[in-house]
Amino acid sequence: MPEKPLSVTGGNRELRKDGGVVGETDRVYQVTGASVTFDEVLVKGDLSGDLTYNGRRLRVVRVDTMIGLEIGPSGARGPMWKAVECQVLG
Amino acid sequence: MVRCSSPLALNPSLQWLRSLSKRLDASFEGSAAVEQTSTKGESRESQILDVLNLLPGRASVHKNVVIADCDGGQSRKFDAVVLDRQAWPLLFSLNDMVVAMVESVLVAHETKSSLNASELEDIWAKVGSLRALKYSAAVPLQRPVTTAFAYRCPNMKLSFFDYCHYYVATPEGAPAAVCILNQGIFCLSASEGDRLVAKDQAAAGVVPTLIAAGADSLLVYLYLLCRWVTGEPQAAEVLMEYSQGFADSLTAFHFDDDFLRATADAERAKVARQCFTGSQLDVQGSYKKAREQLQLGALDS
Repeated sequence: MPEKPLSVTGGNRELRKDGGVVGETDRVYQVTGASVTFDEVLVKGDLSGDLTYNGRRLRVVRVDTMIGLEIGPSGARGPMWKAVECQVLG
Repeated sequence: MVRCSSPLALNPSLQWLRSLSKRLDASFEGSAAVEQTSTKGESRESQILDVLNLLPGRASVHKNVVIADCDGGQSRKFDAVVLDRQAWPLLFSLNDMVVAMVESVLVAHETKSSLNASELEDIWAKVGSLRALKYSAAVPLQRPVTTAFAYRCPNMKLSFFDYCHYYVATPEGAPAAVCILNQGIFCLSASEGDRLVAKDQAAAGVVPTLIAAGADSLLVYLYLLCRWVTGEPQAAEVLMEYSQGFADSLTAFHFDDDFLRATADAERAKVARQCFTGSQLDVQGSYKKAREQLQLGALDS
């Protein structure tokens, strides 16, 4: 029967390591394949090693651009990583 | 600190919203004997504002709102409109009537005494009139969310079938959620892995779903509104923590794609609809019967 668990919020944008938040993606991404690429990650801690994202285990394998401080219309934010490719571990 | 001492005690958040549901139910019953239909209707429209007023402060709830666009277009009237008054000005205000820019609308809400096919059709027409308005390309925001609330629904599974049928025909006219007091919620969802995720707009891959939340339908409706009004998951996620595990137990039912495609045909839809009119079977039983009638493949289990 087509009945499944329902998520009201669609997950969140937090990348966690050992329970703590170490990064935040620019939006909620669907993680389905062997890898996922986030357009932007706001760096909040140590993004090396195994991370969790909405219940999935990930590891960063490539980062296209690393910016110390990004200045935009809404102010300054950073450090910011762009095009962050992650391997899906489980 | 006060906590639930017994595992059998109902969590306070569930209890509060159930109390509100009971009050809405009582007000509906109480106004039933009123013969002035407009007075009765207005009273029922006002009662639900208590729920909309639970939303975060950014959301300003108004009753008499004209929603306008920059080309001079206006939508049909909704029973309640939630505006973002922190970011946007009003175009006009006179007594209790306001004219609002379509870009400032967070939620357009419709209230129905009893939900049936013709009331769903009316909701579709109103949502369609809102979607027809021009939305400024300079505003990188999502379009207004549209929802409805019904005090009664004589046959929820039949109304869900109609909701799906209308969605397939005119997805852009679909309200993102229809809450039926103490029965359930029709909403839009997309499949993500092994779960469904509620969505506020029609899109590719989005299907109509039924959440049979029973007495807690109002709480689920509040979760959804909170998620969509804030535009971020955080407030809704924290709100859900207050009902300790209830949100994790939510499931939703939907029809398969082949069934939705088959019932896009008017004649086949008529055959399938007949299977949902009886009261003996639940929605899944009626669905199974309708698939047999349409000679579609058997379900997995």
